[in-house]
Amino acid sequence: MMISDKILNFLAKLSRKDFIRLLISIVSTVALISGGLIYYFYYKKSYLANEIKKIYAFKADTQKYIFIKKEIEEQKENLSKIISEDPKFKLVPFFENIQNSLRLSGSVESTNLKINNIANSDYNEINLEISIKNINTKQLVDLMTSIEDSPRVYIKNINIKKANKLPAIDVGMTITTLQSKSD
Amino acid sequence: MILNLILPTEINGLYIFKKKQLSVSIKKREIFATVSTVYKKDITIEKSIIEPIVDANENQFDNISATLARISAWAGKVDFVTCGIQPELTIYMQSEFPFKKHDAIELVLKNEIAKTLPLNTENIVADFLIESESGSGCKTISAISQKENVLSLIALFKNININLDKIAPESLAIYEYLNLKNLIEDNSVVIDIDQSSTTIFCIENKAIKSIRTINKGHDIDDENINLLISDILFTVQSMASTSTEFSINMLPCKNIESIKKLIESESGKNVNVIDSISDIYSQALAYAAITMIDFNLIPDAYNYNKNLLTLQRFFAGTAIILLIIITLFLNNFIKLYRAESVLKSNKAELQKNISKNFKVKNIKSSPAALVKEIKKSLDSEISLWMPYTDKNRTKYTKLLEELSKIINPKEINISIEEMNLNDSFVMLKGLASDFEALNKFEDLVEKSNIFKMQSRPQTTKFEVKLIYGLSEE
Repeated sequence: MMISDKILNFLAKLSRKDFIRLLISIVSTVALISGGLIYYFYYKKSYLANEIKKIYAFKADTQKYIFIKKEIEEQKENLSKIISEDPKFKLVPFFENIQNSLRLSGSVESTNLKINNIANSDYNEINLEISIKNINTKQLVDLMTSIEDSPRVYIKNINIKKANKLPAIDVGMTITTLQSKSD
Repeated sequence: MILNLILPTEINGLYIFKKKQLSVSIKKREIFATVSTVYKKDITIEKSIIEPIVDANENQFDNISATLARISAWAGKVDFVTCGIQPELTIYMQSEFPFKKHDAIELVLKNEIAKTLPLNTENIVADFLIESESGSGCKTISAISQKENVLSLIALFKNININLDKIAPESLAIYEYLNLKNLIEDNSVVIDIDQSSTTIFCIENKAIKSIRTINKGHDIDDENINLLISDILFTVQSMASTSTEFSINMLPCKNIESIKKLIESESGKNVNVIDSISDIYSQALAYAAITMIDFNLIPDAYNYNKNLLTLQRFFAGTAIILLIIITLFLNNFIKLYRAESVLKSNKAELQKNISKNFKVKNIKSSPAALVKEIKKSLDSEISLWMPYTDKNRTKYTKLLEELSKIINPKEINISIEEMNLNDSFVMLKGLASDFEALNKFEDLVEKSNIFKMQSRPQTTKFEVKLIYGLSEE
């Protein structure tokens, strides 16, 4: 007897109730499997769409970073040129010169030199923390302009407080430069 | 047709969409036909016809087929066809069962018939109607016919390419129809004299007590008519209870007036002729769609298992649904496959681009991790190298100038105690005279092209963080 005949015989012998039960369970199974597959497809589809969207965003970011990297490389070259033009440049004398020219010697309370070793680089970062008391805003602006005029020094941060003697101010700032490790 | 295989057109035997039905009653010399519309429990009779069978005595099969073909052309397109089986080909049997489930009765019906009638159950077809229910049991009336009779009816229609959908016994259909239309009294005898047979129903307390068929009809010689009348009266006497008064009813037939008079004179009772309905045979069969919902002799003739019919429908439906689902799934598979390959190729391209331009620890890391890593390394490079350029240098003098415009003592009563500036933001600590001054300060910051206030000050002694906006130069 063929399998199909056996199945048909089996089904024919079932009572109507059992037969309906069997049909319901088959339909439920098919519906469950289809439902599972549909869920899988929609989940996978939205996941892939999201991933593709992210990848495109990453690609755009990478292009931007490549451009920035080029700019950094150019800047590195420029700065290396500037540094090589004056290899004996030191930050403390640089600041002392400005301080003298602006007649701020009496106001400069302290200076603190810090050297930051930059890994995988030929340069060290030199930070000079300066504390100045009782100066006016014009003096501050002159000082900042003098520092900003130099292509190899920049102001990292400034802290301005009201001094005890008004309208004077107390200023704390950090100025930074790069110095060859060989110097 | 395919749709009928998949979708149910009926629920509990009632048609849920309007269906056109052709009902046919085949007599010896003519065929009664009615076209009706069936919708749920409503039957609308559209048209009826009595088509004579040409040369009825010779080559009966072909002549009936030809007549049926003419009727089919007259009826037009119909959804299903019902045919009556003649009274002389039907035996009725009443039974009582201790249960009332249709399936259960169906299983034991043939055994019941075999116990009562000397018939080989292999050669008969039978179906039943539940006549009355009492408690957990019920009384049924079964119609039994020879399988070959049913098959020859099916063959008649097959011959003209019509699939017969239902075969119902005419007498039972007529009784159910009269009952539905309230045309019979609670205790009565109904005599239907056909061309070749006479059927007599005995109704007691609105339920069929018995049905008998005499193989003689009005299509006999005048000499034999008296014999028919005495047969009828004898049968009526044997059927009807002596204690109950029965009225005698007759369906219209040939020579009705003379037959009526003869019965009246022989029985001494008035005979009522139910003549309010024309073409009662085919109309009663049309109404069988609602009066005899579960009744059909065709499945039994084919040894048709209802499970298998349902299974066939189920398989056909499932096959089509599966086909649709598989097509949809395949389509989705292809889409997913394409999306995956797009993702893969873009990932590879990204990794190639990154490895070409940046030094990363592990190129096999996720794209997000790779981009994060190169951003981190670039950020430290930017903070190290870029402040030395005019473009990227934070111009503190300009920032202070802008701040002095915002916090102008002539316009705003705010005193700044301390400010911290770095390359990304300014932190201000100060004291406002009142909230109005604070609001004005906020407005001025908002109008500024350089600063954006990150959090609003809540008290007059405040500490706010101003981040640099896009227009900062």
